[in-house]
Amino acid sequence: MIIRYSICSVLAMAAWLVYIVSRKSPPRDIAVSAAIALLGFVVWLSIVAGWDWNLSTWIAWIIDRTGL
Amino acid sequence: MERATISQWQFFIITLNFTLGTTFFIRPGVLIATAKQDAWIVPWWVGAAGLATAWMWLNLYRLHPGRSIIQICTSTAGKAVGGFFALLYAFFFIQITAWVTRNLGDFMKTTLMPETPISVFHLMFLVIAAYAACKGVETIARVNESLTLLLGFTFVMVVLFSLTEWEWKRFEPALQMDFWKTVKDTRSLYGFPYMEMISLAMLFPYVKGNPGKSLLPGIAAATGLLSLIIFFTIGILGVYRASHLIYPLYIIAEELRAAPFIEHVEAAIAVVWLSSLFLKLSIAFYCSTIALCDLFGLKNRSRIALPLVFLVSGLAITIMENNVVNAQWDMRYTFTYFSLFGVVFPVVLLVWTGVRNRFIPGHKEGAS
Amino acid sequence: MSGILRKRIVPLVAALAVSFGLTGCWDIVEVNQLAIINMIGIDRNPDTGNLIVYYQAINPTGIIAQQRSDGKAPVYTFKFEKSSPAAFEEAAAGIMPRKLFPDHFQAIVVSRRLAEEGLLDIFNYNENKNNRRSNVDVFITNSPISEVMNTYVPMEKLPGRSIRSTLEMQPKFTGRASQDAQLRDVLEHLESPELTVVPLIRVDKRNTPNVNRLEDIRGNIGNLMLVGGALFRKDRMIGELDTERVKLFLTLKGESRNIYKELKIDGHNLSIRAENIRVKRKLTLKDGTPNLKLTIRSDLALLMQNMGLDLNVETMNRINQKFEQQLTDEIVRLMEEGKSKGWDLLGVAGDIQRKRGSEWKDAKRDEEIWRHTKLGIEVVCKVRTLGTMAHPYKGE
Repeated sequence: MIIRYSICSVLAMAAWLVYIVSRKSPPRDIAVSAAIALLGFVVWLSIVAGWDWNLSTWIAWIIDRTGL
Repeated sequence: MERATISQWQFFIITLNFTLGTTFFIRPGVLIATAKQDAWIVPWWVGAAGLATAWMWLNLYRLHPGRSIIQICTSTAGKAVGGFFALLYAFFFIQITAWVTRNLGDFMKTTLMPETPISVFHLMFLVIAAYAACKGVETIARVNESLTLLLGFTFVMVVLFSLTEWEWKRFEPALQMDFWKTVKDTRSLYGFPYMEMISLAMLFPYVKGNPGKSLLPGIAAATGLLSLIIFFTIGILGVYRASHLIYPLYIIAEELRAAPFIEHVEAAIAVVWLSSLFLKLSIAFYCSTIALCDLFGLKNRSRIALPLVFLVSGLAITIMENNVVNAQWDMRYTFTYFSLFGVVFPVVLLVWTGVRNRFIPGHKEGAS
Repeated sequence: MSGILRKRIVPLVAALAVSFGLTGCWDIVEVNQLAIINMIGIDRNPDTGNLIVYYQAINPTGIIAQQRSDGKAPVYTFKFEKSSPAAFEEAAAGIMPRKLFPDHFQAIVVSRRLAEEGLLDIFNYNENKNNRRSNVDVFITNSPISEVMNTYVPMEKLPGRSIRSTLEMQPKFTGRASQDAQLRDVLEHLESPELTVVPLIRVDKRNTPNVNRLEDIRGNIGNLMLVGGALFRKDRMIGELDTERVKLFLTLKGESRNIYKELKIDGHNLSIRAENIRVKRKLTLKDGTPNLKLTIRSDLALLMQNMGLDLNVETMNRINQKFEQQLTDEIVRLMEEGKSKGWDLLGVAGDIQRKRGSEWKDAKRDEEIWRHTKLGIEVVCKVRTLGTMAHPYKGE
């Protein structure tokens, strides 16, 4: 499942990058687009792989540690 | 930044829809469980605090006319520190988008379509929101204008047909709440939805004239409507049932009976109300997109819209485990976390701007 | 051309592609694959402790056939026995050729023995479902529930719709049942001391499970009859009220605006209908004791009188006084009977909980304070409607 997801995502991201490069987007746009896509890939990978993490729990931990 | 202008009326409607979008679905049950029959009074003092905070944002904007909150961060505190604040804000806006997406998916899955995978709802709505973001703020504003009328009409119809179930004794005994305890227990309302509205600071530069002329009345109107919705929920459903339900307004629509043969119309009504959630999602998504564009100096919004769909749809799954965990998190952390972005950072920026204007000779923020 | 392609066709194709999400696929509901449930019956097996549920499913071809008098069964009843309400849908899937669809059921019938045990589990299960129906009429039955669920009724093809229609007529014409007798009305009082009355039904004589019953001219046989009310405190049935007491109870709650009454004056019978009944309740605290003042105003419609007297002002006054006296006596009797059984039939405890002010604090804490209520009753009525006769026939 993870491998199938990874392959499909990487292909989709590559297709997207090819598209925006072909539209002659500035390098900054391409870089940010790639970075966000990569972040999204990691988040979805964590879901597919079943990693147990939660954004709200991290925020709660930070707030508790800083004593706010 | 795109060359676009939205009118005062359009910004008023955007403020109204952004404030009420998910609030009117999710908040009534929680507030009624806390404040019981006096829950309809709670939005008034929280709304007043929200207005005061919004007035502070407008003052910050007055010192930095024509700039979004992201640009204010970088211009005030420099590229490094300001950039860090701006990055936090961008992350916050993306998080709000994820939250709204998750609320939408949860609602659909819990009430109307339990067999459908939640990500399907997320992706479908996000793709349309991304398209709206690519089209720009004027398009979003016009869609807001046209859909708000339908939303208002549907809501009025539901209330009118449900009035046969009204009982005044559901408000008795009135004014019995312990005021300070209720203020403490309902402080999360200040965070969501009032502090979320810092996202609208991204749209200030697009508003024709002074954005305060529509932002403040929008917040006041949303507060009044929220109070009215809670009032009707108590009068029609009662404190006991409403406090046990996640979506009490949906239950009112579910139990509505206009005539012996016109009943169980909740699916049709919910679809109309979903558009309110969608409007909030499109505004939040647009704010996230332009926050990233302003932060990184990007020329074209559409380059990041689709990757953002990918990211937000994933975050929407991981942002919370389930409604129970979310409710506990909301009680404990919403006020603190949202106030950081809605109060603390803007105050820091205000003070920083004031110090710079006062002590750095020749440095005064002018028109951009 | 490429500009047009980008601006018009690409978004259109993207929108179409998105619609291929086909969210309807997972939750698709084909009408002819559904077993549409019209009525649900619930009981408990006293030997095993399991719940027994009866699903009365509509037979679509039977409904159409009814219109042509072909005699096909309009409904079929399926019985299942499981330990938990959540297991019934799975059980149904093992025998019913269609997907169980209880989204539009019209009535829920509960056996008296289960009602007396308590219905909290069933309430919680029903409220938690996404296809929940809480604005559905609840009935308690004294008859064996299998008889109630396995009988065909005349005039109305669907028994669930039949008893629902019967119930809906009561508030307007007879006052024998309230429109606030739905599941949601019982739920609303789950944590309050207020009592709720739910319609009590039984099967007349014996049930007729054969569709040939529909060819029988005798309308009463096997029919479902409203025979009184089941008194509920929180989720439990605590007693039974006959029809007259139900009418009085609902009138005092403000849920019955029109009731039928029979008066006796000098040995003669009168049938009247009290219409547009307005009840004003005023609860005060005097020396720590609740004082309830009831002011009841009503218009009377004279339906039938065989007093042999002319209809004049004196006769009208006598009718008014008789009604006022009779109603006052009935209310006092109702209160006393309720006290003897531990039932707060006048709803004083509920009124006390809704009071504000520090003087009511102690009263709110005392759960039995309603027993010491001092009652004051004022009934004001006037005969408004007399029918079309100026004077009755005397037969002389």
